[in-house]
Amino acid sequence: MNALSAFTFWAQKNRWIWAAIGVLLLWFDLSVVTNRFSLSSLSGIILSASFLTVVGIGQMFVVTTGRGNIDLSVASVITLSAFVALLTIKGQDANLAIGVATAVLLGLAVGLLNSLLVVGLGIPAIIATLATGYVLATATLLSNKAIPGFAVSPALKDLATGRISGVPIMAIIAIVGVAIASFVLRYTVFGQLLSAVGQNRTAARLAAINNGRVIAAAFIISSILASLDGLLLGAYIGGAFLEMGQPYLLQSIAAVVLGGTLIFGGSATALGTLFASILLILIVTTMQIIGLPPGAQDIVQGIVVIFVLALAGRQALARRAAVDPTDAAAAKTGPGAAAPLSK
Amino acid sequence: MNTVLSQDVILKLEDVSKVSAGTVAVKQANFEVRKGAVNVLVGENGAGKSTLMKIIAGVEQPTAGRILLDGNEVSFSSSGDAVNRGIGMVFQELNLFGNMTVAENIFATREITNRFGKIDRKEQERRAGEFLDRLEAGTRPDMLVEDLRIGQQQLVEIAKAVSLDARILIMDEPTSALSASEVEILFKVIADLKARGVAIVYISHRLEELIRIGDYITVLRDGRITGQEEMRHVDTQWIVRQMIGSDAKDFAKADDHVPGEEIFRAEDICLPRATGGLAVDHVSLSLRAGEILGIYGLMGAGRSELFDCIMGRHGHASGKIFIDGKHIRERDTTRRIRRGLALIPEDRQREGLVSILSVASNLTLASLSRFVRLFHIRGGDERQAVTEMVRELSIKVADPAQEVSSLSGGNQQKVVIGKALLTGPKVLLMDEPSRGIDVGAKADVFRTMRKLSRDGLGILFATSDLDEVMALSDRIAVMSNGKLTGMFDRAEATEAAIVAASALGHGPALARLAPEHGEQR
Repeated sequence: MNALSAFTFWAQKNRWIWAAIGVLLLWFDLSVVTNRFSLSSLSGIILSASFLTVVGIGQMFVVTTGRGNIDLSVASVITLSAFVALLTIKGQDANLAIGVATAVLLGLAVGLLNSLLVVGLGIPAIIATLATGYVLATATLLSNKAIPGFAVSPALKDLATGRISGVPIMAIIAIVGVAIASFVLRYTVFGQLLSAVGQNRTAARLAAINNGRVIAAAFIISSILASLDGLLLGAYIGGAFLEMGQPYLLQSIAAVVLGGTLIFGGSATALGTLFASILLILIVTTMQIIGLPPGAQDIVQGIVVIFVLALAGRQALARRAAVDPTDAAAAKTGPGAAAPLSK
Repeated sequence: MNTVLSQDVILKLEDVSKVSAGTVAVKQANFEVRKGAVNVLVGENGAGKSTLMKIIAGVEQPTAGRILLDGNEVSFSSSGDAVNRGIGMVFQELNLFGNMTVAENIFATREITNRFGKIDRKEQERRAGEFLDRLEAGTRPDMLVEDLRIGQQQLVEIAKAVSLDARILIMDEPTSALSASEVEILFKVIADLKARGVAIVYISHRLEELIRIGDYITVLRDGRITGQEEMRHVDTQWIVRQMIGSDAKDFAKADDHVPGEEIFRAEDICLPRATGGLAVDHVSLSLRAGEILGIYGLMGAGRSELFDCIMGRHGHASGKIFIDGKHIRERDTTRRIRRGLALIPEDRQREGLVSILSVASNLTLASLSRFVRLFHIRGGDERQAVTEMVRELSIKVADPAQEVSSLSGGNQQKVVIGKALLTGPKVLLMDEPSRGIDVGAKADVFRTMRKLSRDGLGILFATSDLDEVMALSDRIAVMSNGKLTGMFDRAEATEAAIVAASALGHGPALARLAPEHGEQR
């Protein structure tokens, strides 16, 4: 009992643990039920999850700035970036540097545009980034026409599909990304500012924090990560197609909230985003094994997100309700402010 | 003031004014802050204290006037600017980040980092611990702020400001959530800071507290500075007089109609405060038809909260209310309005009116269902009701289709009253009905109150204006610290008795400590 309450307390501060437990349970289930499951199939799942993790981390930064901030343009950025990579690299390793630079620039431009709309013009992020996504979709259509052919630079393909002693390089990239994000969140001034802005914007302003700059930085990080992700994803599937980024729209948000990052902002966990990405891919894989049609898979994913958000919302309400009465009771019985009033 | 004193002036505001959203929050204020002293600022709610302090702290910029720091003119574009110049502020609302530790909050935006930009948590926690120990806060620097009591959070906020090592430290109601012993510790810290030459600007509503620790006092009323004095020359009465003023007012004559049967009764109304204790503490009162019952009390006495409880705006309030002897079981505002209660809120702009709508739309906003047939509003009926109400309350408006924000304050207030009357109330609750309107309009509002009471409405009105409550009420109830501390008939009420009742139990820390303080001197 004591150990359990200690665990609950610990888990409150390390919310990523729930996603990790989910991964273990589901994987164990699958290994028992189907014989097809093994370590190697897990590594396949981790490969897919890695692409999700990279874009999920960006999304996490944006969500953490609070007030309903969200980046709905990531899907379009991924698609466009894959197309632009094909156009710039043209299957030549020599063009790789230009390709990567273009991807970063693309991310930077979209991130700046998003922050201009959200921070500068005060448009709610949900609408602003949705609109940006539509604009980018048109750009994608144009580049689709201009595309010379599907040729991927070998070096990039190695990066996206290769393995080092069985571990996908992509997974290493994702894990390094998660480690960096964790460090930034926990040990750097930027991480503190991000958390402060997400929790209490008025207080942040009064503490002389430039809220706009912090939020803009989050949007830029999100777009750049999405863009780099698109570059790698294109290399992985050996080309690009319209709507290839689409699944990452809901999934990136799902990975953030499922991982334990607060949807209301102010508290993020990169490790949670990693585990939640794996969990989501596991869920999708499970459904594929069962043989559910793709439409039904989307339904299940949507339900999972709603379920998690409902749970998170209830927790927030319960917490608020729990704080008030205990406070009042403590002051009544203790030597608080109320006692001397009666004199 | 003489030359010796002016040498100590570290910060000086000259003719500073602040206009925001068309209203003047601060009018040509001249304010001096002396070092090594506690400079007290006092005034009623909305007098402009917080605005003035936010100007000093760089949170808001003045519309006119100069700020002189050490004799040099300065301007702050942000609170960061002010902090760099050595000005720190403890804000009235707690500005902490719940998900962060105490140390992280204290060092927010001033994180201690190593060469690689990594935050040095150990060092932050060690230094935060020092400040917390000085305040005897009883919290560890690695605790999450959201797990602390409100009082402890306030101490963290104070520790944050103290850690700035500011030359000027502004404290806006720092004791509002502190217990008596915590207040004592804070006063010790203030004395310590004072000894080190820090200039402290101290804002509070607890008069006894101000008199005890203040060296200089400045009183604000309606954005103007009405008095500036050394604390040893003043007493509570002086402060109250400067705060409330003595404008000649035209109160409508009382007619001699006799109030009827009891129309409203409240029993044991209680409202817990978020910081502990009760904002409304077992208040019971009754009201007869055609009677005006004035509720007098200083700021924070719980008048508005009582009204909110009666209207059903707080889910966690307890107590019973009766209209015409019938127990009202409905707990939500909508159904209580239907039962015959109506509130004229204190904050007309925010809670009383929809400023972009017309006078007519505002008037009928609360009673639209009266004009509805099936699913459309009968324009004719609505217009007729509006015309009647405009005439009855003599609202000065050329065309009821005009936007309500184009009216003067007094006429806006009449629109709010008219809106309430159209719901057909039996009991009207008026919270500071004369606030922020000019003298002529006040008289108009008072006449309206008289007229309504003659028509048999029961009126409860809350005010912090002594003259007003004396002149208008048939009976006077006095509140202090959430409690009903006095109930007087008009015939037997005296100013002295009312003021005495309004100060009962005021300042929880000082009710007990004031005598000790007397002995120490």
